[in-house]
Amino acid sequence: MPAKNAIEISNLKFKWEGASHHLLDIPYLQIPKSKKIFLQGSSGSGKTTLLNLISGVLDFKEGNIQVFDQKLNQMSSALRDSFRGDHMGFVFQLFNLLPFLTVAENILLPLEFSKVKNKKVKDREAEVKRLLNALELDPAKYYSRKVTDLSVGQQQRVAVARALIGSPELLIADEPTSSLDHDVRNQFLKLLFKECESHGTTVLFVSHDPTLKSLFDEVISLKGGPS
Amino acid sequence: MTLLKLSLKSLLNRKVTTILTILSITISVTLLLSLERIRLGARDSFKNTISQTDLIVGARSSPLQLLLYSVFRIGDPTNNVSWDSYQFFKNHKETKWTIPISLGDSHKGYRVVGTDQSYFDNYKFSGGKSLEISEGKKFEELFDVVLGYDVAQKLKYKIKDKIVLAHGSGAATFQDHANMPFKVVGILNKTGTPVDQSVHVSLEAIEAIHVGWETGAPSRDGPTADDLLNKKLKPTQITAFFMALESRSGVLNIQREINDYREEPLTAALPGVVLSSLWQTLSFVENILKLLTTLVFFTSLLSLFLVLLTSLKERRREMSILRSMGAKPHFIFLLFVFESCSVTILGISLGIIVTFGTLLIAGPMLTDKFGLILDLTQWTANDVTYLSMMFGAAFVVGIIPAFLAYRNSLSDGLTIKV
Repeated sequence: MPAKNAIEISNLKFKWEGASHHLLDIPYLQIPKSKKIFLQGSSGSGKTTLLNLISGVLDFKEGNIQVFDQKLNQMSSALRDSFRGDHMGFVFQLFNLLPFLTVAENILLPLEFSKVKNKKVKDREAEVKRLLNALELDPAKYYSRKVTDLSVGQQQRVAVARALIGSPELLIADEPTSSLDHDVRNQFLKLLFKECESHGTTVLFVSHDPTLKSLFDEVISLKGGPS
Repeated sequence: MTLLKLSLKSLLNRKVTTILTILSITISVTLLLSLERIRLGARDSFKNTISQTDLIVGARSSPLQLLLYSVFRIGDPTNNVSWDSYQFFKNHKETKWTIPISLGDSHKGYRVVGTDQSYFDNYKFSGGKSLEISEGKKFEELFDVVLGYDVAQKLKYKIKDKIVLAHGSGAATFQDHANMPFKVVGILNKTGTPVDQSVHVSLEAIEAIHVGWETGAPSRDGPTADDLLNKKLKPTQITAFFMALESRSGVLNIQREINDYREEPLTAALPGVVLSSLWQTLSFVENILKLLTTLVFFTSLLSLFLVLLTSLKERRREMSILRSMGAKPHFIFLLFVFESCSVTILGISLGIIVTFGTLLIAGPMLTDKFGLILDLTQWTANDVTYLSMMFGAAFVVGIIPAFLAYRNSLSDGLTIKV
């Protein structure tokens, strides 16, 4: 039976070693497949920690996190690394790209770490060009460009192309728009959504900017941390 | 493959620091290898100060002292060897040739060596090289003198210059043999041995300048040079002699025979053995050289370490990105190790090339100026040990930042504050 939910969290309790309070205490949370989710929370609310937990970088002891029916706490950390590489794509706030690689090399990099993604891409060059086109970056102009020549907005779009190559089922975006100005931000989101919708990618979008809420299917609020 | 590509591209991206680090390793490898070559060259040159001589014979003394005054012309002999004893061993049935040496006079601080033609024919150094006359000829007349290379260079002497010998050694002797000037007839080629600092005259000349000196000081009515030219002079004693045997296997027997010689207390020394033990006493020079090289090497390791450590901070973001794509922490670790290893390997290879290139070009000059003969084809166990130790040390030094990167990548997760 295929999973209904992209992510399912139950009874999750997390605290940093030595801390007295639980940073995260989530009795139940589900993120349906192919939906665009807006994860809202003030700083210190544990957004980043939650992302690290879902992506399998952080260990946790109490509770359950299931990503596409796979229980993360039953996997070894090496297995979680592979799982992340195979099924997820990431876009960060800033400096998403390796400065010593070209645009195309940056976009293709995830294929080096995941056999699953690698298998899905038959023609690497064509796929990079398709993604660049979809994100409105002229391949003829940008394919072999050094990423340091690009504007911040363009760099973020290259980061999206890299996150989406090999069609991962889950895209995790951590404040990718906070360094973009208003017009660029709207265009960026439009392109991101279009590409994700056409592949049925689940989007988990973290931001502290409530004006973006209306663009998403669902909004999840994380309560503030220990006060 | 990904690892290789990423680390090389990342190194290229940090061209300047990478090149500087490689260069500093290159420099220390070059120093290390050159010093080793020079050390070996110095040792070989030293041990080859005299070769193909089986025994050195002088008045009864320690072998070391005998070697010092007869070969290196350092210090003074305790006593002389009588001409009769010399003749006895010269004509011994086992003897191939002998070179007589008569010391005691000097010229401006350079030792005067009284000897005969055998010196030019039989004296061998550096594993069998003969003395060569670079200018002029060997001494023939009573007052002819042949200069070692350095003597001629330092004192700017030419053929036909007149020089005066002084009684005793050292630059400040007051008793000159001024009444008997010598004529420079020949200058020897550079040998890198004490021969370069010697002034060579015939045994008869030594005898001649001391006629009338039997009391230890010049007599008032001493002979003139002209008187002596016509007189048949016969040496009565020499300081020491070098000896080669017909068969080397008999060397210990002859040595014993000389040491037990009843007519006169003599000492026969094996030059190879004494030279080796003398070199041993000089080993502190070697150790200082080694210490210096090690210090240079540690400096370059420190710079490699600092470069990696500094880059660690700038590259935390890079590591997070790689982790987000599924790179395992040990990939991050290997990435750093790989970078430090490629930098080290490049530095070491370049160092080897630079060393041999430089020595190939500078080698003839070193031979000329210092008499150092560098053998570039000779690789010692030391070289291999040093280089592998350098690589090992660089590897260990690379591991520390790699480990820190590994740990960072675990704790940073996918999001680090920039």
